[in-house]
Amino acid sequence: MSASALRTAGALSAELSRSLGIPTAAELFGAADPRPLDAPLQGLFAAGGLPRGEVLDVAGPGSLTLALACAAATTRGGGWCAGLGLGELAPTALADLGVRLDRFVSAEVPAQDWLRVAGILADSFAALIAAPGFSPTPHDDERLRAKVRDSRCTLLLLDAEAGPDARRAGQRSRRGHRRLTVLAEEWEGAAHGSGRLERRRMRIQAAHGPVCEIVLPSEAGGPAESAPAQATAPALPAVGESAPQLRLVPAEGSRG
Amino acid sequence: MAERSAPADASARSGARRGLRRLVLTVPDWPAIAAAADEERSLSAPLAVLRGNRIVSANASARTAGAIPGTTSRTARMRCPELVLAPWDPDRDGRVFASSVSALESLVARFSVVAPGTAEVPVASLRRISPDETTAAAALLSGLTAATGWEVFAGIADTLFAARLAAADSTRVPPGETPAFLAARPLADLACAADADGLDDDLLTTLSRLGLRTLGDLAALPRSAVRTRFGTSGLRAHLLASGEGEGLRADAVRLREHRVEVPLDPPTTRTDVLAFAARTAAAQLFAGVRAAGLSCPQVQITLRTDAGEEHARTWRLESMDDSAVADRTRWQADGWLASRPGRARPPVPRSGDGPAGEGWDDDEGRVRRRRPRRRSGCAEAGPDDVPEALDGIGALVLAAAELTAPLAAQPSLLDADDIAPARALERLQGLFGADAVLVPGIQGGRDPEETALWTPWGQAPSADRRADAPWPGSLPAPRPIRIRRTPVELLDAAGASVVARASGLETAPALLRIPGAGELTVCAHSAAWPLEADWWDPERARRAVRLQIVASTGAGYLLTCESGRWRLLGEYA
Repeated sequence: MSASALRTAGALSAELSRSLGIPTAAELFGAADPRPLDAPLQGLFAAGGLPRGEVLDVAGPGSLTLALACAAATTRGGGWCAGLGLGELAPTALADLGVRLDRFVSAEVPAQDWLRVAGILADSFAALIAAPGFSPTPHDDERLRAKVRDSRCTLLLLDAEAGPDARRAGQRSRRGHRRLTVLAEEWEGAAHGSGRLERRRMRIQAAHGPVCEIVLPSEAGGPAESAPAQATAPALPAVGESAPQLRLVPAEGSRG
Repeated sequence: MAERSAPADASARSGARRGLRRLVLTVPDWPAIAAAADEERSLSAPLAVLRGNRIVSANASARTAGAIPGTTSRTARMRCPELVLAPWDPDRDGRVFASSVSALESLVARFSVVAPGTAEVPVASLRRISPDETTAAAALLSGLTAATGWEVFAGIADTLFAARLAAADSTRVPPGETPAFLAARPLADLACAADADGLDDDLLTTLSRLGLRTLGDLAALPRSAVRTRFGTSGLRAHLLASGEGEGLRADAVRLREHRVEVPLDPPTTRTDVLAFAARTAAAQLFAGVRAAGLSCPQVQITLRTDAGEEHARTWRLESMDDSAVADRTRWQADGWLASRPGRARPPVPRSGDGPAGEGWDDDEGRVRRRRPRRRSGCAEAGPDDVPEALDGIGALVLAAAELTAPLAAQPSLLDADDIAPARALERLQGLFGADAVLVPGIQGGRDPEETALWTPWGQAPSADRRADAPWPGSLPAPRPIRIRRTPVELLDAAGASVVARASGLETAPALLRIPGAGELTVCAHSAAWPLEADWWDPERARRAVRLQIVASTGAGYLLTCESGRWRLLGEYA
């Protein structure tokens, strides 16, 4: 194929994806290659990595740490990650999670400009973690999804205040995004006032259905596999309202 | 005749380099000498400098007794009981050297301090002392030793890097033989240039793993190959190793200072006026820089009031663009004018009294609104205060903080992926101000808020505390991800505030009350551990007790108790 023919094909596929909103074959192939993830977190996504060009909701307690841990491997691979409206983060904890500090920026903008800024950042950043603090209107949400799909960026929307209804909603939020939900978190090591917080065990409903258990942060500050010996421990109490009875599924069997 | 023509040829070939020949004077074991000088001890008594309980520098008599660098303080004391140990203090090293090296001023016309303990003199400026560089150096050495009492080593070579290596052995490298001198040196010698020249240790490790043992091995590689694989720092290492080091940096760049000063008459607080002046000044500055065939990736902007107050900041620029400088001037002025009431408050009680001070508190930092009140306060106070001049910015100074060869400032293939994010961030800064986009960094400290170093994008970070110093009592991982600074109440089951002592808590906490964010039931807590910092300095001494709690929601929090008051430090979100 000549160079000019290649160029025409590239322009055509870009045109198709822009006008119809459906990814072309080439883009489908690109989406099959997800962004890298640390090994303990791979069970949270069907493809074993962070999907490109998608908006993901991360809900529940500890969602900020979870979202940053998901973006950490991307920054180590040279991709840029931005936090939007996350408050003042501790750089030492970011480094513990494995985030490369010279590939991370934190932006704070007025709430009314939130959508515009997310659009600007989505253009050139690999991962974007945002806590809008409110629900965008369906129209805005659609624009954001189109933008993210177009730029192949991964947008993680935090929803720390998600109530029990969000948890019942399951794998997809009402906006139709795929959703990671932290069902329960439990700190270990306090030892009734004689130890210190050493590790946090999180039970997470993955984007594709199964419930995984991971340790985040571990003693070293980063994510870790939940020890198999602990899997036989009594089930964790869910936060707030009693959640539907869920069975622990090992991370390996959770594919598909 | 034939013999004489050979060195003449060599010096003619190096052309401009003949003028760049360097003499380096270095004082061995400088930290130990500085410690002795600072405490006015005898230079011959054994003395060593400790860092992290290991000796990093020892003077000659201590080394003869066996207190060599690397030994622990215990071993050193055993070998040499009369050894005096001084703490490691880089500030002292620099301070003592800067004050004593002025003895050189009476001896040579030009010199510069390379590092504490090391000074550099262009050989060209020694002609006044003696036409021959060996006798000139000898005269300089004896003069300096007579003035200070230090033992000084000298080295002469064609480049600063080679001269520093030569000074360690007290040798003179004849003109033109610097590449040969460097070729025999081990690769590890590049480490001494590492901090000054921005080479990273990783590069040295990589190069030695590739089988390069000497600087000559490195210099023998094609330069373009090194550059394409290791980028600018590889190129820099190659230049140093082949004895061509400084090039632009050393002389051409320093020859002329690129600086533009614009007086503003009348003094103004309006940032649009400032930005306009900055745009014109930047055009002038960049024209000068371009005319010199250079490029300027960093600009220092200084705002000065007529009363002599100054605010300087260094900004990194993606390209030499006038409006980028105007933007940055506006941001800097905005930030400074907004923060000035807080900083300028101390003089007010001195000049006026109560009411004036209270008036300042009410203001929101708008400088112009403050003016009338201020004038009335000063009218009571004294004749030396000129209110109009104090308020407005009377001068704007732009200086080129870094100059490079134009090619070095070009984005290369090796960092091509960084351009698009940088553009997006610049755009956000243009829309919402410099502080809208922050870059994380880590500095020394114990609490999460102390270790955080958030710097606006494009600005050089300046740490208050060294991150590589030992910080006993700093928080171990896992650390809270979100920094909080909220005063809170921690109550026990009976509703009384929990009392914390260094030995532990008196009662178990049951309720955490965060003002404005409700109450949380405490279902678990860690041991309370004491933190005692800077106890040797009564002004900075700090005693606190730290505690982690887990709320019934499952969330973890880090608290501290200082003099009976609880404060929320961080949140494990």
